[in-house]
Amino acid sequence: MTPLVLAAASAAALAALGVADPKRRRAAGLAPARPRHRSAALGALACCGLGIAASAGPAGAVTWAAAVAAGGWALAQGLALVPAPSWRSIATAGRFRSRPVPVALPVVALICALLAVEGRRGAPPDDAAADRVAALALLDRLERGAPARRAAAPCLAALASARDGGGLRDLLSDRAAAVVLPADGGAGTDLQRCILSAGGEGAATARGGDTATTTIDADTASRVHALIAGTLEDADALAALAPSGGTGAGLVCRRLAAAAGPDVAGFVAALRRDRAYPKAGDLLEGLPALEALIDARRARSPCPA
Amino acid sequence: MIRLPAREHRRLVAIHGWTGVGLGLLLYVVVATGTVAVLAREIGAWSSGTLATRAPLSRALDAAVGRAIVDAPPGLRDTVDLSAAADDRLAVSLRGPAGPDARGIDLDVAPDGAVLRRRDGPAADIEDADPPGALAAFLVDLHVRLYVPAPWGYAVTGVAGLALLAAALSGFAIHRHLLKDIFTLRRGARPGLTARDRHNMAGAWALPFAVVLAVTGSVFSWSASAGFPALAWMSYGGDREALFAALAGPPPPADPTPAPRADLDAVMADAAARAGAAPTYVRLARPGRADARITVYAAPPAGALTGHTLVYDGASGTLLEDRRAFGRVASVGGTLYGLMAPLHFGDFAGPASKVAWAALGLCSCVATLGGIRLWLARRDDRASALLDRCTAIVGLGLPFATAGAAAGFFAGLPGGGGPGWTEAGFLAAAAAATVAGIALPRRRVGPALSAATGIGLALLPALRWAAGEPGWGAALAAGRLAVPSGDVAVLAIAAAFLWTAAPAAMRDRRPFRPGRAVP
Amino acid sequence: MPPSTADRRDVLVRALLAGPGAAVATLLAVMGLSAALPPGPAGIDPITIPLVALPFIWAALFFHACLDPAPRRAALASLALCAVCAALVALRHGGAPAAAVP
Repeated sequence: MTPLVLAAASAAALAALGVADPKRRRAAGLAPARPRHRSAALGALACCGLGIAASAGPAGAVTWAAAVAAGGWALAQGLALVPAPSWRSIATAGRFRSRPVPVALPVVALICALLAVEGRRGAPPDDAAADRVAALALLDRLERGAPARRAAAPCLAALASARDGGGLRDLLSDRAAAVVLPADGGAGTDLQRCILSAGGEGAATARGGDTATTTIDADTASRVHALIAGTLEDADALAALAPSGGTGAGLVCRRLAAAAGPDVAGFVAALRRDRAYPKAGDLLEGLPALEALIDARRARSPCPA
Repeated sequence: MIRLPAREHRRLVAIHGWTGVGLGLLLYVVVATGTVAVLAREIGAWSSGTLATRAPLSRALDAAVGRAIVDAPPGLRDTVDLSAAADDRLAVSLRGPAGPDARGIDLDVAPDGAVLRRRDGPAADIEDADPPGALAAFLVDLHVRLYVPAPWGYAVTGVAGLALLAAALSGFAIHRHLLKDIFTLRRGARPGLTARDRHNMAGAWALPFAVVLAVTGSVFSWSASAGFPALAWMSYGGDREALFAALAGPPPPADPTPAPRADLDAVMADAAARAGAAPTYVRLARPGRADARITVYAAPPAGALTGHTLVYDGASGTLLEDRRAFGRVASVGGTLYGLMAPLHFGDFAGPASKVAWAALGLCSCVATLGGIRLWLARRDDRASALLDRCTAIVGLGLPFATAGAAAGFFAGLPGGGGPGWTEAGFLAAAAAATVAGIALPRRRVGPALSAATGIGLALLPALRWAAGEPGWGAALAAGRLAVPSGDVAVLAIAAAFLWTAAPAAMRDRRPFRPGRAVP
Repeated sequence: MPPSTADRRDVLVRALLAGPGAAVATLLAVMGLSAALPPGPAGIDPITIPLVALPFIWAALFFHACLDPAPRRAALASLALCAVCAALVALRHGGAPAAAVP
């Protein structure tokens, strides 16, 4: 949006520069524009250039400079079509008709722009192609990250059943944590497996009544965090891709169906209970679409094309 | 702009004039073809009538490329290059070891993986023979070396580049009121003054662009024709391959042990994610061996002028290098040389930069032709009359011949087409323009060639359709605007040419008025 | 006033200097620059920098040949540049073996 606004402002500044051009005004019998008018227009133009350079990078700045030159040339031709009373011969009637080039130029430029936009549509970085490329990149990462996700799964399962303490929030903040779990049940085992995946040290469990409190030191917590974070990011990217329904979603559906299921299910519970992950809201919004894709695949329904 | 002593000023005026007159027509041809070549991709999309929408390098490639490698004889698997061809096909080029006798196989692979075309033979014979892309390739080649055999063609365009540099710099130095006059175009004034204003104005607005184009174009042309040979002689005993290998980074130690190929789709996906833009070109070196490498060249990410080059281990698929400039690691020379291509082609910011480049190319053409005319207007001898006629023939004959090339391309399509038809169309139209330019009275040359160009261009959409390319209905149904907008653009340019020709023709029908100068 | 013999000689010297002279001197300067430059971190500076510098070197030589009030001085400057660059090239070729360049 910013580059568009700056481009419009540049066009206005360029037009002001042309209108305030002293030679043109003198010829038209008008009072010469004050130097500060020109300076203001030039300054505005320079500011737009700096703004474009800051917002759109060097490519934007170079494009802007070339566009200003081309636009200035076209503008200068256009301004010459406006009658200026003091030129020696002013037969303007028919002049427009006999000078087709300035008329044709904007038309051709517009059509070239349309063509170029069209070429861009077929170009890789856009639309379906980009969606697909993103999906391929993500699938590749997920395939490589499968062992890490398997290691993280017991951590998520354990945290999902933790009753007290910060749970996920504590682990994601890399602080020492105390996780309270039922003394009898699978959650404790999950936590032990999680701690083992994270190196197997830095944790102690104290039993009291029907609960067991496992304290984890900061080092272990940050290792568990690292395990979980990767999975969260993958899930986040997957969930962002799924609702598009485009080629990316189709790829995810075809290539990841079974693999993503247990991983996703494992921490959906934790997330629903404890919105510690900064993007948990977005993720929860996207997850139903992802789950629907996976369910569709399990039911052998066709994936999106 | 620069206060110079009178004598130096006079000399610079002479340099400006003589470079313009001596090399102006060559310069015009190079700049005008370059203006068209900037839009080669869009012209390719229009002329090949492609209706598919996915870019070939963003599809799953591994299976098709694997089949191509397995099908090729082991001696032709040294390098496998992948690029996008016209009509949304994947171009696969397999080559044996480099050298003058290098052989290879070129394949066109359809989006569904089917091999549509296979060319087999000496590398020099099978290159650049892509029928649907022939028109775009022809226009680019015309700009790059004017169809003069290498390395002389590069030397010719290199001379044009240096002439542009000399003309731009001398023009900058001699114009005393460059910035004051950028909006001065006195239309009602006497014709000579209007023409001078028009030349000065176009020259002033295009000046920075002209310097950039002249420098980058000279670097390319002179690198190819003289620079690489001289530097190869300097440092590599004349071995140019060794010089290119140094530029690309030395190859890994040879290890011919067979090894499985890395999954190309995974590599491409990783490359696209890292580069932040789609891959544009891929080279697989020694696939199926332990020392295999995959090099992925990507388009510039948003806001950047240059893109990433990613080098992967071709066996394990692990990333080895992520280059942002020329050379294996960042360096001054690599960064500078890496900037030459984007600044010359103007393709770094999608449609916006391309349109700006094309517009400034047009502006430079106006400045060049206007400059020659201005110089001629002050002279009245036989040589000037001859140059005047040549200027009219080249100035309008080039657009006419370009229309002829497109007509030849479409005429050849039903029979399989190819570069031969495009070249024949261009040459036939150029010959016709030359004959007409010599035979007609001077005052009729311009209007006649303008009218012929307009009519030729106006016929192109019909020719395209008659050649079996998709009509507007099919194109719009497939969501492709390239075909109709290309047709509309061609018709608009045709109308502009016809409009230029019409008033002159009408004037000619008026009764002769005594005292009106007829050149 | 018809041009004198000295004027005509000046023009000829300038034309030779700005045309073939500038071309030869540019080529030599590119090679000399290549011999003088350190390889740089990527080892490609001696190839890329001279090529990028080529149009600038040519423009400097061309305009100097055209504009220097004394064409003889321009010729001497060009010759000196050629001599230095030729010496650099000869040193490179006489010294280390060619393949030693990275």
